[in-house]
Amino acid sequence: MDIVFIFEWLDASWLSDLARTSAGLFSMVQAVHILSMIMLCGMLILGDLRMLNVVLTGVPSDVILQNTKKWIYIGLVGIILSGIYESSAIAMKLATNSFFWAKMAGLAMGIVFMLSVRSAVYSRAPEVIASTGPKSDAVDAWVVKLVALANLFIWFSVAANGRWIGFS
Amino acid sequence: MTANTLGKVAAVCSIVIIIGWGVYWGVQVKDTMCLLEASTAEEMPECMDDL
Repeated sequence: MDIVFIFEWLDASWLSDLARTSAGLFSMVQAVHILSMIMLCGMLILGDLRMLNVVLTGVPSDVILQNTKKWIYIGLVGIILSGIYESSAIAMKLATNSFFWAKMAGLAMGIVFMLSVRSAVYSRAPEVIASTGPKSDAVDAWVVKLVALANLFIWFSVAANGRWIGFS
Repeated sequence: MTANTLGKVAAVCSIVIIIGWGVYWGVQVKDTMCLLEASTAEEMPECMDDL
């Protein structure tokens, strides 16, 4: 499917004009993009490292997951909105940039994985990890740790490919 | 979905992601090392043919 027309439309939009002509606003939006990414990945890393029994092992995992959920969504909205603004300035360049597409693929995979597998598995973490008492329908501890590792790998790729766009 | 089924699905998805991640970054690092070599070499290195 050819979706270059989306980039052509973005390139010719008022958003693109604004991004190209206002350096001050662009740098501020860029800062919002980076801070949103830090918030999103920070919250995800916190949950994943908790599941790997690396950090905050004395705190029940349910408490950590419940308290980070809202900030994950706020970070996600932040990176998507600021990302659209940033990409409008170089839309035609991004249309053929392999690192941009790798980042988008990672982002899509990360969102789907987070909302489906990660969420389902973490809510059924066994007592040895979750420290919230025995659960009758808990999954194996090694599966929880494998999911945490896979999630960390996905978001590392999103961040690394995002930086790589700047060097390509 | 039972915990057993969920565990199997999650394990397969995670293993596929981790292996895919390793392959992707393995290729990226190899390509980057080749470009670094090309930037300092007097003659074009052979690895440039594969890029």
